[in-house]
Amino acid sequence: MSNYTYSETIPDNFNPNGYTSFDNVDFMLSFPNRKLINSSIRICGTVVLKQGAAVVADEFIFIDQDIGSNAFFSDITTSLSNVGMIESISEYPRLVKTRRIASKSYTDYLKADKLVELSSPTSMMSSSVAKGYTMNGVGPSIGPMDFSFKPLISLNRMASASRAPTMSFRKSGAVRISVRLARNLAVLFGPSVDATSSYTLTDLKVTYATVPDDGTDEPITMENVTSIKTTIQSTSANIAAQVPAICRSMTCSALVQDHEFSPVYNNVGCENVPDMSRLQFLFNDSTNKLVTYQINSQSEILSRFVESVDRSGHSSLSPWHQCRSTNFGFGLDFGQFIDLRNQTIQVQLTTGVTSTAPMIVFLYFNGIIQM
Amino acid sequence: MSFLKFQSQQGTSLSSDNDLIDFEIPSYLGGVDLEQSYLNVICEVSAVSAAPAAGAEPVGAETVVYDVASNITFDENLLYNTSLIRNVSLTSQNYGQLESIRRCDVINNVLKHYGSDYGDILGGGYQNVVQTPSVAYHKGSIFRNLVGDGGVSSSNTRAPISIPLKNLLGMGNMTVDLSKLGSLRLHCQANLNTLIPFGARETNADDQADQRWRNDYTSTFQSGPIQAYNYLDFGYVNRNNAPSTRLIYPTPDDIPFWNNQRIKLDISHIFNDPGAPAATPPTAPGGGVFVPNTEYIIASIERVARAGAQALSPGTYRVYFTQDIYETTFIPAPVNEYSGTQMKVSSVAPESLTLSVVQAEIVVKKTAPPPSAGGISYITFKTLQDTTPSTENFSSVYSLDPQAISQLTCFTSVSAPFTRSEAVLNYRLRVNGDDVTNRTVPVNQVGAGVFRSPIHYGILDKTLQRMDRELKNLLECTPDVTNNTSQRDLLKGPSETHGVLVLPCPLPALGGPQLLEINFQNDKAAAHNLAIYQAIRREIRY
Repeated sequence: MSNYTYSETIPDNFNPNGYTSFDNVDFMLSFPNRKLINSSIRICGTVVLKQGAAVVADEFIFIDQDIGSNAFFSDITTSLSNVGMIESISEYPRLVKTRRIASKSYTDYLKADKLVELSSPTSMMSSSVAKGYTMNGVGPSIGPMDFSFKPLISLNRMASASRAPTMSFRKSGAVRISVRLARNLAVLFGPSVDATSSYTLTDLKVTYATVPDDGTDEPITMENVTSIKTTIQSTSANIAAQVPAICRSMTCSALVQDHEFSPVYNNVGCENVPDMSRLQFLFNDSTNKLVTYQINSQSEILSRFVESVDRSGHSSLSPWHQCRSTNFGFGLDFGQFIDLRNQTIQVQLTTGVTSTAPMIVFLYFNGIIQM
Repeated sequence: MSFLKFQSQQGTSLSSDNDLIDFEIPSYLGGVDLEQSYLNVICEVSAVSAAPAAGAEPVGAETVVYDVASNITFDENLLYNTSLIRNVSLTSQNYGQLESIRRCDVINNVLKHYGSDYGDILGGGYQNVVQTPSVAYHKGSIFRNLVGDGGVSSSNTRAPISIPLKNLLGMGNMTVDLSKLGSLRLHCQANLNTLIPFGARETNADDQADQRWRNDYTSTFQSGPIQAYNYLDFGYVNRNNAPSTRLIYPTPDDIPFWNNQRIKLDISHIFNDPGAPAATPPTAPGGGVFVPNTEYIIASIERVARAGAQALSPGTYRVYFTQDIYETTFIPAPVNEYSGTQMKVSSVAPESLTLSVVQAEIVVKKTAPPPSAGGISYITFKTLQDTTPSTENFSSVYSLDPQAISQLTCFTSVSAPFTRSEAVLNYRLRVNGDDVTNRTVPVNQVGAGVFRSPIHYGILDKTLQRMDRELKNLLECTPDVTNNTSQRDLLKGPSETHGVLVLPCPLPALGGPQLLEINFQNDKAAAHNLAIYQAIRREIRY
């Protein structure tokens, strides 16, 4: 175990006063003569929510219950000095949200690895947790709440034949993780949120684990994500995409356009696409691949969505969630890796969406890269 | 890899009387991944409701919850989709009958229960015909597209009751090579005659146990002259969170409304009579009831931001109705102003519901044939059914299949479709004359401090292990689908009336005759229908 070392690094642009919306924060991970352990990178810090100049006490201000502290980071870019940029995720909180609702039931948020992220089983609990430490759970905050989460980035999603993937500093060089903090209204929502509602992150740092470099290397594959954002505004919609990636699945969620950065709506909410009565996937205009028929039941739409993320058997999807427009998505597990660099995938939808209430559709293509 | 859909051979002629469903999976598909294949029984539910008294607006989506029932009552435990299939058989063109499970509805429910933690149960919520309540105790329905935000109408929809083959068949978790097996024929008998839709409860706004349907003192009638209006605001919250009755619907999870919903309003006012105490019921001329228990249809729901530096928070829900809310009593000036409102909101159940079975289909995942291993091996079930006499002590010996590796004895009485039997106090099993336990195993003796003996769980765990299954759930009760307004509990505590009871034991499978002796004692003379499910490992060599 003495060879197994935990390290932490503070931001290059360290700010003792903390970071707020739109700030960029860069972390440089340098581990000469060592190897980075898979899934060991965590972002840690503390958060204070404010209403005007005052620390939030009892207002109804929420952070998304499923993703917790992931909500603070809108974009994450990962670069290796010897390789270049390997991943750039925009709309990162929504990516996490989309995956969580398809793979976690609310009972899963009582587990320690989710609680330290500030994820919670219910909105009300999330609201309470994010407001900081209190005496016996009541009264004003006596200290900011700390958090720690594993970002859903390639370096936390490595795989190798040995099943213990590590990445040598010899090959990668220094790792740079650049994050951009989300705007206030992208994080906070609820009855009490207004233009003065804000958050501040302090003590930000990245922690990771390494082992000594034994001089051997094995091929590493990393899961990565390519995101696309588009809009639908009619009952019949056709979304066509060609992405520079080899992908195994596609996962989509939607948000009413007027609800984006709205104080009363959850900006990462995976809202119900009303009256979705037809869903079809086409590859290069062909219908004879994968699902060969039109999907026209809500349960199969959601079933395909779940399979595009995970087959854990857990989810936060139900007709009632759809009614409340809180958890919904669609997608497709390709069942194999498909090179989407040279073919187009089309998603055809028949819905109740009209031009009076257009919806933003977020598409995440889950692929792999090899080193 | 691709997914293909095949219709049942019965076409669209399924009904409660025509409950046989046959599918043919052709051999030209090559490999078929049964684990990701499933059959759908597509149904629709139509509701009949009277027009609201206060208008002639059409009624849209009603509250509906469903029980896949064998005459079960409203407050029975959850039944999984698999309970829809009563008997099943799978036949191969080249190898004959692969499986034939009688009363597979009971055993599949039991195995699903023991093999699912609560997260698993919630995880299937998007396709379960019987819905578990949300954290705010509300339920939706797979047969309704309910819209709770915005102006799009809610609607009825045909929906499939999906049953994964892995939950139905012993070999349902395999990828099979149809070039070896030949075409497959799946034959099912469905419990279509016991598939009963239930309308949601009619709530009583005075019933605080009914949670989100409650008295609401927060409506936002503006002080001033009485006027017609077509919306109500719900969910005012005090920004400073002062103790108040106004704390309702702070999150989307909580609000129980959707578009086209039929609800009942009962509104009264505190009039702006300077001489009257604020809390005094209205004493103005004409009486106090403003909207007396009148039905309305919801047209749309908005989350609104409320500007202004008032003490109330800026965010709430505004619910629009398809017609104006009219006062029924005209209040003459100058007392036709009011400063406060008390409102009761309650839901309205449909007058009747009709469930129609449209058709059945199977979705098959076509894949590459698996590497030939010379054959396949799987575990299936053989069912032995018996009826016990009405007696206090029961004892009988059954001859089991020589290849049986374990058995679960279930109670299949009409009142216990989920194999519970509160009458049994203890049991003792013998296999080939040897005791499985050295004393009786007590169950259902809560008064004596024993609900299930620990040894019961030990034997159950071992029994499921022999079936290559995991014991994940010791709750011995399933999420409640109660329609009882006094029942709020999401999970009922274990009790005789809600515990799942089976009599388990592993078997040696020596290849010769196996005799199972079942002894149990009832708390009083009682008759039972027993279904003894024998797990049998089968091999087919190509």
